[in-house]
Amino acid sequence: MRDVFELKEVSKVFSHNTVLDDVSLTFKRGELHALVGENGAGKSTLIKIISGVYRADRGRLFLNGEPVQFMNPSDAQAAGISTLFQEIQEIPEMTVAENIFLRREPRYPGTFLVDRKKLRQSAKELMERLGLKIDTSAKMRELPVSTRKMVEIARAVSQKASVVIMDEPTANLNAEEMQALFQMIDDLKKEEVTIIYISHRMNEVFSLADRVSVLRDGKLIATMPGEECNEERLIPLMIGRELNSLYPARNASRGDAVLKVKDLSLGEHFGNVSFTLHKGEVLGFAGLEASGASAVTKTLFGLCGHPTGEVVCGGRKLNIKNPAESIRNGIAFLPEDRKTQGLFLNQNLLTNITAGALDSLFSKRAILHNRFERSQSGEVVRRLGVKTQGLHEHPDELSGGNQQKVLLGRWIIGSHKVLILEEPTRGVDVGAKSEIYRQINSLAEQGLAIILFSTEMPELLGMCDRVLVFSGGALTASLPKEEATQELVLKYALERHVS
Amino acid sequence: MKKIEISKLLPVAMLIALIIVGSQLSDSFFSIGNFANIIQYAVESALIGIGMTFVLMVGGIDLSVGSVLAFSSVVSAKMALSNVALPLIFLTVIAIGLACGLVNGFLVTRFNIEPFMATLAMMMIMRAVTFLFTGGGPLTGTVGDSFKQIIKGRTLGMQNGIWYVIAAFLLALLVLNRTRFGRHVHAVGGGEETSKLFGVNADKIKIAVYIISAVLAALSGLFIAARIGIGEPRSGQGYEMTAITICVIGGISMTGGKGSILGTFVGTMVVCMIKNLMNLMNINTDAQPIVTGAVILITSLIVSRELVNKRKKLVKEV
Amino acid sequence: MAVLKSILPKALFKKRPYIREYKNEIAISLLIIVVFVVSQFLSPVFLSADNLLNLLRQTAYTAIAAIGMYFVILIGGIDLSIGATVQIVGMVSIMMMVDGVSIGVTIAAALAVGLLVGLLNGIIVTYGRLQPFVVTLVTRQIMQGIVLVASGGASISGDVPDTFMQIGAGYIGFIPVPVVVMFVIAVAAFFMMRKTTFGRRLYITGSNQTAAYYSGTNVRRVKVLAYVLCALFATVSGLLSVARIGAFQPTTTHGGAAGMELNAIAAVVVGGASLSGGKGSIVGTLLGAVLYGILSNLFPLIGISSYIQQLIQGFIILMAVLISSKGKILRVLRKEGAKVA
Repeated sequence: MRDVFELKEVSKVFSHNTVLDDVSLTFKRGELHALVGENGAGKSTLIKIISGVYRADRGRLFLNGEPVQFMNPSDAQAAGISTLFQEIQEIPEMTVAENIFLRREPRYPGTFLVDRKKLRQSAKELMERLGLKIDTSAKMRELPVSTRKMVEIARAVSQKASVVIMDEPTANLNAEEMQALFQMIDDLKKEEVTIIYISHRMNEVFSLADRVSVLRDGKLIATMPGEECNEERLIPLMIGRELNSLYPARNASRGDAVLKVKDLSLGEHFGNVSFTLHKGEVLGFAGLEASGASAVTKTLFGLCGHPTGEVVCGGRKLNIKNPAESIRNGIAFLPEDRKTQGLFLNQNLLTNITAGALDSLFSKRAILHNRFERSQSGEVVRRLGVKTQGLHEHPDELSGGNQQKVLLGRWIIGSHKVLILEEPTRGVDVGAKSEIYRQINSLAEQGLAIILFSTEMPELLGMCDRVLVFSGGALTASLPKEEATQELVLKYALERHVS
Repeated sequence: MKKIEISKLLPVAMLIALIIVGSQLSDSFFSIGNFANIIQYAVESALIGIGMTFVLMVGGIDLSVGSVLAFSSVVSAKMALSNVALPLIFLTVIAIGLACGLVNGFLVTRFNIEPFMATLAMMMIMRAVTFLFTGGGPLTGTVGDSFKQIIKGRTLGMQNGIWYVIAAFLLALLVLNRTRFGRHVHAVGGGEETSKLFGVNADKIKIAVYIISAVLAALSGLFIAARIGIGEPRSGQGYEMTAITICVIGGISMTGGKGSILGTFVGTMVVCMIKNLMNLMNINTDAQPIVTGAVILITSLIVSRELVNKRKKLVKEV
Repeated sequence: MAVLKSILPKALFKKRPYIREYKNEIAISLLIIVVFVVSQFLSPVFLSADNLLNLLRQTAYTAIAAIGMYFVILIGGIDLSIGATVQIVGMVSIMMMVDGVSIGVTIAAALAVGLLVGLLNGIIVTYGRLQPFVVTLVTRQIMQGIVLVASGGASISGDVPDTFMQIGAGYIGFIPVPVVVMFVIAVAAFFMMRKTTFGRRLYITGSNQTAAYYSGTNVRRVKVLAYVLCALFATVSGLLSVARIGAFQPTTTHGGAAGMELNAIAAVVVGGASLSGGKGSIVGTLLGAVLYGILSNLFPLIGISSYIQQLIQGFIILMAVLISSKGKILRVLRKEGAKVA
């Protein structure tokens, strides 16, 4: 097997974060090379550099021994590298056939006119060859997620690429589709195509990979043959420390019930969800895509309109309608995407921190109390240890972890009863992670009731007093800390899972 | 069963309703002569509407069409007044369109200016250039008969204007649906980032649609000059709104990626019939924009409502 | 301005970080001084008291409308209908004055018209989820139609009481009334942005409306109010200008009242705002209007024809938008990088 693609000493820095640090890797012809690592380890950045979305700050790429430079994705494609990103790349308003052959539309010989018959024909043939039953004249937007993913994979196959990058390709597939995908992967390997494969599903990695590379904090930690891999060996390499040290101990005692939810339902998203949240408790919400876990938290904060059922917070029955109302009732919410949903990037830290309590704390008859704003937000910055030059700084000048602390600070101010956290440590480096965990603990110790929604299982297991597992829009299990294990959570998460 | 989309039926329903209402309101409305008249006067609207369709398809907008039309109109009138040969006039007009479209396209793609702002500024600039060219008033004199025949003449027994409308729509249909370029226009409008990932040169496509829009506007200017026989620097005012009305009625999405030339055709017919009907009913021309304005607002509100309902997102958008 | 910003020493910002917040305003002020100094060499009448007062008065009309426009641009919208609003308000008030209606009622009616227009724009844009420029282009077209129909396309004049004329043509001390109104409005707006929760909500809505919604702001209400304020300020500007002449002249072309929206947009954008929202300040807008006022005052003085003025105006708008969008390009790049980080 010859090397087909090689990275030499590649580095990438975004504003303050070194996302890739001196990574050198070789990919061999016809191998499936899996990349594993925690969220934020640099896997996505690495494949975006290979596929031409980003350019490396330092380092060089070699294709078949020749140095290459990709200015944009089409350069990479022209060189024979196709990429399946996590988000499906598609034009929803166009048909399956048009999507597959976009920019490669067959034309009547000697004319400018697209041969639509041949276009449909080729698409149909491709599907037959791959053993897929997909209506190629349907518009992409009319198809379910898994079918669209298969179309995308078919497109990559049809391009006759020499390198195919797959980022979590099985995320939305059911068992049958997964089998079809694995079959396609086998066929590709027989044709000497190199596959760079990213997945969180360890079993998949073990059974498919010829070689596995582990990334951590932007560095390449190890590369090993697939058959030598097992969980015991990989996970310590990925995390880089004992699991326990990341999650500090908490001294909170469970107090009175703060939030009582009874038979909460919202259309097709979830139904009959009931649970009770206590003072000082950290309650985990777990579930796969579309399980209802995140829909419940969003609904409680008033983002999804009017649910049915009963929600009692601090003894008052709530009429959930919008975030403003929920905040007034003592429910605070840290959204999953801090850049698009949380921060005001071009406003100063003071504005960012006080935005959640303008009416309740910082104004009298609509007139702002500027000095109080200043002292309070200064206090928050000190308490959370935000690394900053001062309150006049804008969040886009801070690192991810500090940005998250600023957002957390918004909800420390004021007298909230319930704090909902969605993916509080997504895209945050390990150091900042443990600091955020400490802050969550200290908030719980002060009597705040916390709901933690996360897709990172270790985080849920390490932080929560209890984990609620959702599947197919229903609450399928409530596991106390002592009983909760990865296997058990996954079992309940798959109980009613349909994709 | 699939739910019927109101927005798809809307254009045709409006056309039918208009024909029925029209024939009730005015005796002279429902006649072949009047319909031929409507189409013959629809040339400019049709061309600009088609151009706007291309631009809207990629998620842009071109507010400069009226001014480009005016400039091309006074330039071609000036050339006709000095008895320049027709082919040369045609070439000049196309060159004007090309240049204006290129500027618009560059402002939008290379300089990253919001399309409405870039073309609004171009609208001002080209109008000023037009007035500078004529010195303020209209250019008058006698133009050659062959120049007038461009629009007033007949070919195979039918007014040239009608031929132009037919040719323009057929050509646009072919380009937008049956060429790679046309498919890529759809792709860029339907998902710019994705089409870039697929290797479509989105900037090039965008520049091209602004050129198409401006060239068609410039051709309209030539036709207007041929119609009125003078160079009127005030011509073409409000044409951008006519074009937007046509597209909105024709179901072209203002955010790109959705629409068809057939929609534009129906939209053109609806707009020109409303205008014709209002003229037949002696409605004050000043009042007509009020009616068309209301039509745009109501149509786009219906479409936007349907779009929001269709999306069924979990989190309500702000 | 970008050039000027780069001339200002970087060290200045480092030592006094708060100066950075005002770098735009500082840059425009410097530019105004330069233009001012150059102007007096270009035209001998430029510095005369008469011309300066005239300049201030002209600036006042633009500045008042521009401050209103600033609110709308701040929240990422645009209002292309203010020229038509000015027209319709002018027509209504002159009609009422000629009919002998009292001044108080006339002004109240004019403001009510402005309020209605603003509400309509705001509600259609936010609740109808349509693009602001399309909606306001259409309301502009409708209002122009109404003005032409109601006035028959002819100017309206007649017995307009002197007290009404005083609003536009009068002086307080030696300062023209519109200039005084401009200062009052600017100070009020400055105070509102600095010291009220509504001002803060305008900022955060413009900066990131999803985040504003998630932190408890009624984003829709804030947006509608921005359009209302814009239309009201345009109304005030319209009243001041129509009261000066005491007669109403409908115009369909750009230039005159119909081109007001472009003047206002130019002033706002020159003042450091970005069409994508969340940036700029009242002081910057005011300075933008002054700069714009000086230029449009200077051009006729040095014998530039009105068509060329319009041409230059177009280029100024392009330049201003270009500079503000340059910043945007940088931001987009940074955001893209941050997605993974």
